[in-house]
Amino acid sequence: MITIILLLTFTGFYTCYATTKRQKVPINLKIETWCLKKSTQANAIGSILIFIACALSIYKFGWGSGIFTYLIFLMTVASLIILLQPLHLITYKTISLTLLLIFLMEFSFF
Amino acid sequence: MSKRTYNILFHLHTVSGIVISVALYVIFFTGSFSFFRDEIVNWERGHTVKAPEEINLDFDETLEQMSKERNLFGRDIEFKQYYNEQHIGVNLGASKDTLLTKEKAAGAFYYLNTDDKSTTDYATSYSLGEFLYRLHFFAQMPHPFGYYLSGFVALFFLFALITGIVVHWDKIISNFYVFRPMTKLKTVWTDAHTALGVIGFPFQLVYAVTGTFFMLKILLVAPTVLALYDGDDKKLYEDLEYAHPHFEFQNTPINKSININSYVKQVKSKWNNFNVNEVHIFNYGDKGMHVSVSGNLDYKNKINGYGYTIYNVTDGSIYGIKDPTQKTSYLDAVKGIFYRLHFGDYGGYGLRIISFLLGLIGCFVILSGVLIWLTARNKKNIPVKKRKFNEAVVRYYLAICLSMYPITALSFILVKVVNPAGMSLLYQFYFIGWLLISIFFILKKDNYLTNTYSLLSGSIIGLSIPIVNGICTGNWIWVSFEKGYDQILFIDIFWIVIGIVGLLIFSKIIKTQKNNSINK
Repeated sequence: MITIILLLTFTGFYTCYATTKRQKVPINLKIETWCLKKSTQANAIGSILIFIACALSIYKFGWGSGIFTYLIFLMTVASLIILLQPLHLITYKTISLTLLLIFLMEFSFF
Repeated sequence: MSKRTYNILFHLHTVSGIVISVALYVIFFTGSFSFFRDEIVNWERGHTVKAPEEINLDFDETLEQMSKERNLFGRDIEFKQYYNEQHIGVNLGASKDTLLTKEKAAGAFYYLNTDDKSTTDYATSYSLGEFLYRLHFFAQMPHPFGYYLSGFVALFFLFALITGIVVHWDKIISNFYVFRPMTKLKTVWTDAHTALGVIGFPFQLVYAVTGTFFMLKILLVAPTVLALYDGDDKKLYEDLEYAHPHFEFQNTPINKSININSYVKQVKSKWNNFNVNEVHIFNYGDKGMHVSVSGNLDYKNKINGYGYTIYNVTDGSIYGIKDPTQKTSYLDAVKGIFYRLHFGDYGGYGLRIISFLLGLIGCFVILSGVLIWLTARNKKNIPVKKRKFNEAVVRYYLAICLSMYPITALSFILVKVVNPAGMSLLYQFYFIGWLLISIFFILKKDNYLTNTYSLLSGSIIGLSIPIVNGICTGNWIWVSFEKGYDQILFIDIFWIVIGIVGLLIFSKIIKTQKNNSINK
C-alpha cells in the first residue's frame, strides 16, 4: 500500500511539476512535453492522483495519522522531485529501482 | 511590503539563521537518526521486540520474584515502557511501612529486561541510540544549559522560518518549482534554499514549535506556578494530570490474593487495540492498594487515544477511568499530539524513513543558507580581510557539520566491536573523533574536499557496519531475516542503503567535476 501511495504521489506531483513555464524542465520521462502543452489537464490529473494517494493513506493509517503521514510523504516526494529532476536523476531506471526497494522493504518491515 | 520592512525581515532571517546554523544542523542530523532510536538500541544489544508499543510481561511472576529480593509491602511500584525496547523502567517507591529499617525501605529505579529478567541501571544500559537521541537536545552539556540551548535554537529557528517565508512571500507561487543547478552558484543555493524551504515549511514549523515547547516549557511553567499556584508546583502538575492521584497507606495487609495480570487483561479486553504501556501500583499489599493500568489506543484507531483505569484492589471496584475512545480533552490533545507529531511514530517505519529523509533535506536547507550567505558576500567591493573571514566561518561550519556523518558511522562500528561500549567511551570516542575530523578538514582549507571526503568515508564505513555486525554477533543480514530480528535487520539495511546512495552521489560529484575541468 505504501508503495502505491508513494507512486501515486510521485506521479501526481511530477505531472504538476512538469507544467511549469518558469524553467526548462529536462525531458526524462517523455511525459513532460505533454504536461507543458496541456497544463490544465496535467494539473487536474496530478491533483486527483494526490487526493487519491491521500485517501489511501487515510484508509491505511486512520484519519489523524493518515493525514499527517500523507503531508510528510508529499513534502518529501515534492522536495526530491524538485531537487533531482533538473539533475537528470529521475529516470525510469532510478524510479523502478527505488520502487522495488520500497516494495521489498514494505513487505519486510511495514 | 515596504522596502524597509523587507530589509528588516531579510536581515533578521539572515542573522538568526547564521547564528544558529551549526547547532541547528546538529539538531537536525541527530534528530533524523533519532527517528530510529529504538532500532539502533535493539541493534546494538542484539535484541528484538516482537510486540512494540506495549509491555510484554507477566506482572505477577515478576512481583513474586521481586518480593524475594526486598519487602514490597506498602510501596508504590511502577512498570513503564519508555521506548520500544526489551528494557522497561521499574520504579520502586520507598516503603511506607515504618517498621522497616531505612535501608530496607529505600526506593530504587532500574531497568528490567522483559526477556531474560536481568536488571541494569541507566549508566550501564547507555547506548548509541540514547547518545544520538540526547545529542539531539544537547543533553550532554551540563543540565539545564543543553536543554535551554536547544530550546532557544528551536525558538530562533521558528523565527528564521517565519521571517524566511514572509521575505519569500511574493515569489512562493512563481518560484515554487524552480531549481536551476546549471546556473551560477548563488542561484543554485538560493533556488535550493527557497524551493526546499517552502515545501518543507510545514514539517519544519511543526518541529520548531514542538521542539521549543519541549525545551522551554519550564519558562511557561515557572510564572504560572508563581502567579496562579502560589509557588505550589505540585498542584500545577496535578492539574496538568502529570502526577498520579494519592491513596492513603492504611498499614493493614490485604487478605486476598493479588492478580495484576487480570487487571491488565480486563483493560485490554474493554478497549479494542489498546496497548498498555504503564502499570502503577499504589501501596502494594495494603488495604489502600490501588492499581492503575494506562496506555494508548493503536494510532490507526486514534492518533491521540490515551486512557487508563484505576482499580481499588480491596473491593475490586473501579476508582477512576479515562476512556480513550471518548472525545479527547483539550489538555490531553496538547500533551499527546505534540509528542506524536515530533516523534513521528504514528505511521510505522514508512513515516519514519520519510521523516528521516525530510530531516536530511532540512540539513541541506541549513547548509545552502550558509552558502548563500558566503556567496552573497564574496564580491569585489568587499574588503579582502572581510572576505577571508567569511570564507573561514563557512569552512569551520562545513567541517563541523559534514564530519558528523563519518563519526556517526564510525560510532556504529565502535559499539559492535566494544559491546557494551558504555557512556564514557561513547562520549570520548564521538566527541574527540568529531573534533579531530573537523580539525583535519579545517586545516585542509578546501570545502570541496570536506564535502567529498566526508561523504566517501561515511559511506564506506556505513557499508561496513552490517559486515562488522555479522562478524561480531553472527547476526548477518540473512540470519536476522530468517529469525525475524526486525530491528537488527532494519539498521543493517538502512546503512547499506545510505552507503550506496552516498557513494552514488560521490561518483556523480567526481564525474561532474571532471567534466567541468575538461570543459575549462
